[in-house]
Amino acid sequence: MGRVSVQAAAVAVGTAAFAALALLTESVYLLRLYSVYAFHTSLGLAVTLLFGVAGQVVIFTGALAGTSAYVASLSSLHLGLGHAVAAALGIFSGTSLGTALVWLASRWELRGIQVGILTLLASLAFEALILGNRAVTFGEVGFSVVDPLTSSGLGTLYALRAYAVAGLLLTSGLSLALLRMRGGRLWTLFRAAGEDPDLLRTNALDPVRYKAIAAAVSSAIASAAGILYVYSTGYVSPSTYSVAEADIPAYLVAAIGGLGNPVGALLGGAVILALKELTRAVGPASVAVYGLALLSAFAIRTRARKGARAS
Amino acid sequence: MLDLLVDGLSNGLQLSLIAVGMTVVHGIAGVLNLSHGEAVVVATVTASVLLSLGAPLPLALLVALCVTLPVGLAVWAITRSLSGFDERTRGVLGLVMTLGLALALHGSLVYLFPAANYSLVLGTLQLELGNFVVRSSSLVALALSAAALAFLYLVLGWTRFGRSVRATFQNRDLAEAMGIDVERIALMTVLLASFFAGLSGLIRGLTVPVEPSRGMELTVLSLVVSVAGGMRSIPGTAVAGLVLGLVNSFLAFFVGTYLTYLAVLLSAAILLRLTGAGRWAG
Repeated sequence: MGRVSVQAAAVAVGTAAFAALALLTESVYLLRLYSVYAFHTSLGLAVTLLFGVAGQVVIFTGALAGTSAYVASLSSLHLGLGHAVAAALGIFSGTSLGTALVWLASRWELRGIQVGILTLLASLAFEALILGNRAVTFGEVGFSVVDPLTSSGLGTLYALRAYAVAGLLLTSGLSLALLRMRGGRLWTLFRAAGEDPDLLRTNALDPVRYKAIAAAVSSAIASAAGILYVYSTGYVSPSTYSVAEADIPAYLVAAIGGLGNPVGALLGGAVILALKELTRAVGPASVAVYGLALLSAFAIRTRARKGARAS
Repeated sequence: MLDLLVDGLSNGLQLSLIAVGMTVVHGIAGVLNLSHGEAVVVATVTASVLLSLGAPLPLALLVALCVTLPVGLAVWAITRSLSGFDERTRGVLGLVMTLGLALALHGSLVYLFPAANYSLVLGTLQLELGNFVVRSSSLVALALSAAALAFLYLVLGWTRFGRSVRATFQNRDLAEAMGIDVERIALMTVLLASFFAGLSGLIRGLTVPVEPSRGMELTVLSLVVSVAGGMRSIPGTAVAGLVLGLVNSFLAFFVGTYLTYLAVLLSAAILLRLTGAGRWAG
């Protein structure tokens, strides 16, 4: 049995066990933790693909999840769209925005730092637009969202169970899909587009195209996570999607799990969940803990990478 | 209107002070320091808190400036941990790691100093110049900013240390071959950048209240100035800061701070495109 098969089997067994726990438990608190886990792990997987594989420093993953959540919720609230159409519109908006941004950055031939700055600016602009248009978005307070399951008559506990299992399936399904992709042609092309675009050009391949495809997949993951999270919590507010609350944990998930390692991201998500719960009591200081954790995770990775090069 | 002009010039010179530090650190270490704006806030908050506790003004200012040095040391430790990597990797990892440092400082500041804002307003004396009224604190801030920038210019332009900085800035390998201790220069440069960021924070505190959560906004503003200045030019950065300060001041007066902020973000994105990839490390 190969290493990949062992990893896939472990993911499947773990998913089945936690899904069974979600179906059996009556603890609302525990079921809400599933949603938080699914949200951060999915964003971490999005970062793992785009940063860990395609080498694009994108500090916009949280804003993409937020775009999809806001578009879906606001189009239901203000335009009266059905949940399925609103969710599809949300995912389409987030995916298009993320793809367009990375495509633009690649077309402009921006380098690593510049892509990071461009996407950070876009994140800050997203936050400013949400906060500055209170009449539509309700500003920093946010608003309640009616989710499709409870609105169709399902009890709260059953709806939470369904979202918990959906979150688990989303994260483990994505992880397995990316694991299957790893080592394949597309994965190699993503990596080459980030590390050595000229190599692709000499083989008559367009690096912009592969960066854009990686961005599309990554943005779709973040957008789907945004929608699932907003429906499972029944609330949307800008702080959830800020750089501190969404992007930094996503980079942490990717760094702890091993950059470019889709199965490791599942474990990284568990660490973030524990960190979030442990720092809940200290309020704003939790941001400091995330910052320090990010710094430490990358410092350790950098040292390990140096050591590996030296040996 | 004269008040706006004075405030714009003062604000612009302060931005130049912060941004020159960011430009020099990027040029020397290949790392774009996203925690730079936090050093500004750290200095203002420290001085303001010490003054409110009854500390004498010189002591409060001295301690506030000293507190920015550990921030500089942390940035230096990051740049040092990335030495040996290629330009691209150093740039990318440096960006993520300094973002982590920025959030660590941001979270600590917001947690430890929960008040809405901190300032060093020492008086509200108003001076009448013909038909115009100007706050004395604005004039003091303008004079101090100009003096600090001139001093920084002298240090970088006319001293042995400044020549070493510029040599390392232009070609690190060649500078090392010529006997310059580039690691020491990098350390001193990062500390100098933090010191001037702190000084800018103290001057800023004379005219406007500083919120502990505004560090990232200041980082973005100085980033815009650095990008507009071409990322490799110290005089260019200084001029860009002045222009942005004036535009910011007048735009905020006429269209409001919200639209001004969006305009700054948009102009930063456009400038990224215009300056191109060639001038950047990473």
